[in-house]
Amino acid sequence: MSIQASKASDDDPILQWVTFKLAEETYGINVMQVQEVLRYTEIAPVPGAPGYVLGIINLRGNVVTVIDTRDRFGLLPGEVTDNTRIVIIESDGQVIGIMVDSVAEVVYLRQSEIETAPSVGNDDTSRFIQGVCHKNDQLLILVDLDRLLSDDEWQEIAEL
Amino acid sequence: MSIDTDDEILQDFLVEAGEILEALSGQLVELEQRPDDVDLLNAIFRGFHTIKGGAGFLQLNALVDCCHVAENVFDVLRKQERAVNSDLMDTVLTALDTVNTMFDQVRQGKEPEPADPGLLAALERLTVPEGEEPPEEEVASSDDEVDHADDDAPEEAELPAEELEEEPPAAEEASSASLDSGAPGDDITDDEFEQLLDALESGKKEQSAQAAEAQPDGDAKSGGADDDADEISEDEFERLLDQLHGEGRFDPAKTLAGEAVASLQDDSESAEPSESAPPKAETGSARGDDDEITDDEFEALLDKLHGSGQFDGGIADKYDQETIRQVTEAAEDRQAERSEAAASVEKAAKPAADSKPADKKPAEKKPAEKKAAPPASEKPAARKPEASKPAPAPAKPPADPAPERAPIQQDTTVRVDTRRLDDIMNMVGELVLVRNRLVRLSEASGDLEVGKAVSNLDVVTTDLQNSVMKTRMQPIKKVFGRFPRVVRDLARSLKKEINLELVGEDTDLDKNLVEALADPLVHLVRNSVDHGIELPDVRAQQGKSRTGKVVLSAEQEGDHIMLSISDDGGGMDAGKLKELAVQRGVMDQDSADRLSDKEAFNLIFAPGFSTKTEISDVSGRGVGMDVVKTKISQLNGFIDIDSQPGVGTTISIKVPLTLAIMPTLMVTLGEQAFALPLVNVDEIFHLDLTKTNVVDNKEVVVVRGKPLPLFYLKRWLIKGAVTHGEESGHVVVVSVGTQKVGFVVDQLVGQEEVVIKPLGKTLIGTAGMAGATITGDGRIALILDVPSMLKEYA
Repeated sequence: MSIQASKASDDDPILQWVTFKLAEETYGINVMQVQEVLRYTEIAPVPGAPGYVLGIINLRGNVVTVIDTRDRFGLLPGEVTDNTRIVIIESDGQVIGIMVDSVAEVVYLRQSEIETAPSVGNDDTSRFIQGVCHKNDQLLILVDLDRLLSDDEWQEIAEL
Repeated sequence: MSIDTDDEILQDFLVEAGEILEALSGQLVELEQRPDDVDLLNAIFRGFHTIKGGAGFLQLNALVDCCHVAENVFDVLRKQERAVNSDLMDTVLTALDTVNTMFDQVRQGKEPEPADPGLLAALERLTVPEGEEPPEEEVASSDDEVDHADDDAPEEAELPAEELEEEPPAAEEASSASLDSGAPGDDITDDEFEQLLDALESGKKEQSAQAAEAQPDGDAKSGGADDDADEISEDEFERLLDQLHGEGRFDPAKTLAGEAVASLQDDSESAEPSESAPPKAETGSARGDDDEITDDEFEALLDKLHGSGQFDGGIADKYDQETIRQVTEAAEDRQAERSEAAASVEKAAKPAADSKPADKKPAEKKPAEKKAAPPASEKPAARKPEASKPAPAPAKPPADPAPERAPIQQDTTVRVDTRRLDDIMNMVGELVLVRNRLVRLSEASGDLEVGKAVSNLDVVTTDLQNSVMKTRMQPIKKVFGRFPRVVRDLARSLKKEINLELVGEDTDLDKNLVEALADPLVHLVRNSVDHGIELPDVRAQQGKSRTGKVVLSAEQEGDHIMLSISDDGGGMDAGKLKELAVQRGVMDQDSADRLSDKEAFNLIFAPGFSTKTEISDVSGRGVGMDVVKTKISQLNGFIDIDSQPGVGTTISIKVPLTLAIMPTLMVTLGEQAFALPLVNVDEIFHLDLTKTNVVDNKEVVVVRGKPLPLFYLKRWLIKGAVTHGEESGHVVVVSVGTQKVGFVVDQLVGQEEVVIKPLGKTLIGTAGMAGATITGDGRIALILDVPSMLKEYA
């Protein structure tokens, strides 16, 4: 697991998570994997690209692929609003942008607070879920980016 | 034992030895043409020797063994005790292949597999001089020379005694190898070193014949000492001889010390026979690791000296200089890490550790002990400790300005990781983009001052871009270098006589391109040799010379490189090609008949097309040309073929100078910008879209009497685009191979040099997309890959 402790408490490290919203649900991704958060910019579509790829953007001279997280999570396409953000993440050596409805905050969670995801619903999508955390009456879904972006998973999704 | 590929020493070795191996393959083939070239023989000998040294240091014993025997073969060759013939060359080339294989294994972090014992044995046989003389005689002859060197002898005897006390392990080992005298190898090292220094000094200073006279004595002595010496002394002695040869070569050309040098050389010649005694003893005897380290160090020292001697001579032949610089660098590295390495080299363990200090100690003691020695040897002795320091350590005897220049020479080149260059290249690319943007802004603002500044920036950026690009340039020699070997081997196996001519080897092109071109070129050259050139008898019947000619040439043409491979072989018959095309089902009779000759020649690039009815292991499967063509178009290049039956075939390849920056034609479709590689673009024109015809459900426009298929890029590339009802449009005519098509686009923006940015992992391989780039206004434009786009959409 690529999760790194932000504070070294041996048995119960505290982890930081960036939370974002997608269709009324709150998700969290490990802060160590987030490079930056961008406002929505024009995304150049790439003809012939797989459906989950929105296109590419110019990130200070680098070409970064942006994927549609809604599509990935099996949600309906949403509208681009003022709150729409592109989160630039780094996973497994590649830099990728994920488009989300909005980015909320950074939360601190103890390892012990993270519960395993309830095995309901689609087995395949729940694979990207690392765990859930119930805090302040909110359910936070923690996303495993490495799995979300790994080729195998893409392959499986493509075959569905 | 697995090899740690991160090891810096190993990496250095891989780089250096890699270069040497590359050079060797060329040199070996050259040697076959000029078997008597002493310089060449020496160069090859040194090549193997250097690899052996490095490999020995890294404990790559399999590699050492193979290089060692090969080295011995060349030792015999350069002493003219054996003549070069093709059988010998075959064996040696096989040896080189084996070394290359091992080298690749090492590169992959594997322990090299030992060479085929049969090959080693074959090489071993070649190390025995022709007409094999019993070694004893030679020993005797060198003994005579020892007598001649009476003066030095007592002193020599003193030293071994010293060292015997100092380092029992080494002495024990040496004495087990040598029977008559207890002189350990290290001791001889020093003595020889002295002699060498003598030689250098005297050679350099161009002193009177007296100095040169003292020289022979010294050499004879070391020759004598070699009688019962083990391998180190043999190697060292060789180095010494190299040294003397080197001196001899450089000096006479420029200086007046003709006589002194002549005697020097004579001397080395006369000392040579004695050298052939040890090889036999040595090949039988096991090689201790301690020997190797000593050997390395010694080489390092010698090379350094050699280097300075050479510069002094002033007319270094280019190759030598190169080699020596490399070796000197290596030597420096090794020396710098010597203490560390000594600890880490497990196998060398004690003897190594012992022999090393021993190697240096006597050197330092020498000045004191050597009082009785002839005056000439005093100075060298004093110099030695200096020379043995890790740094180039310029010794400064007043008469010798060379060492001061030597380090400067070394500093003129720097090895740089290509990744670093790529980074710089990337950043320059960014700069170009910013410049483009500024240029646009300043044009829009119309401010004169800003305009001036921007145009200044423009110039500087362009220069910078060019300079950075030049750092990535490599001469195409890197690729061409392997062809003499390829052609030679092929010609031999096909029983053809072929002369390969290389033209424009110094043409520079991007490093990536050099690498990418290697395979296609090999293929084309093989084709020329296999299909093109006829058998000698056939050629003779046709009134051609029996020896066929293949010319491989490169030249720069604007921002492109033209490569051509031409042969004076049978050429191609367009009619036959058409016939075959029909037979193979590539096309029907009617369309085949309509092909022009040129188009017919291009048929050979079609997949599954081979004119050879028999498939050989060389060519004939009809896969190659297809692959070649694909590869070349991947490089944004063109390939063209021209042939005349009975006269020959010429294949020309045109590739851009660099892969990183590409001239493109920017077009827009709707809101989005796309870049078409300019190499593909033939022409652009404005078209009244109502005047198109529909043929076979495809739109076609007639341009200068020829039908041109027309495609609306928008329909392909923009989702949900509407393209009906427009009355006029811009048409970009692109050519893919011999095929031409027209693309209808919304707007033509203009020609722009773009920096190619690869698409991310998820998008790589998307059909029709070669990459992306950032336009002057900061937006993204996709670079189209015309061939793959046509394949996907048309």
